[in-house]
Amino acid sequence: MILELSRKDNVGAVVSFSGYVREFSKEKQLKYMELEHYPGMTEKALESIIQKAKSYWNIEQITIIHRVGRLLPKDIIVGVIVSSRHRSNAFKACEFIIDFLKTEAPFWKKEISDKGEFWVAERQEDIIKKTNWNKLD
Amino acid sequence: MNLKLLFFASLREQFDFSQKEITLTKEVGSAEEFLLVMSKKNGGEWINLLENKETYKVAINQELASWNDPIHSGDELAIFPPITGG
Repeated sequence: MILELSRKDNVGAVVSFSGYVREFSKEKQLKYMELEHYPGMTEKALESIIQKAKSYWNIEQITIIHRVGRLLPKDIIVGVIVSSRHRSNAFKACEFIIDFLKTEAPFWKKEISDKGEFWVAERQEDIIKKTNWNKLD
Repeated sequence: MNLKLLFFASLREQFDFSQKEITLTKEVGSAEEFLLVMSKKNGGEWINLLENKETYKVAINQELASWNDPIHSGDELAIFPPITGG
């Protein structure tokens, strides 16, 4: 996929982010994770984040892949790939997209661990990261 | 008034359904009013949801919204805990 994006005309930089399932969280050992989403709204939310990113930076291509269903430790959950003429736009847009995805795209994680089953709580840090982008408006 | 109601994640488990067509005899103007009507009628989990509504999110026709935003007959109303993707 990264190679594919780099073959487009005018592309001087391709930046990618991959998010993985960690095997430990807060003294729990993870057996697996269930990723739930809201079909229909998910696609709309991702498209809206892509359009926002394109309105802020000069971007050639954006690809977002988010997995759902059962995921095992070390599996990839999400991939974001951004290509642009110059690296700065691709770096910034890639970070922007993952920060917004974490608070605006309707996905929910449930951890099935040695200590039981738990819905993952939202992280304050993710909300702050998204809020920090407000200065772009 | 007809609404398509969807629950996700922990709410889906608490209510034991993911979606339901709801018919109300009286119009409600917002998701908050909808909760008031449902908790008066059904009690139980609905009262719990009403009391803790600020910890949950609302989407109207698949767009994030607030509890006070207007809803209309035929709308798709989704209620869910904070998003934890990525």
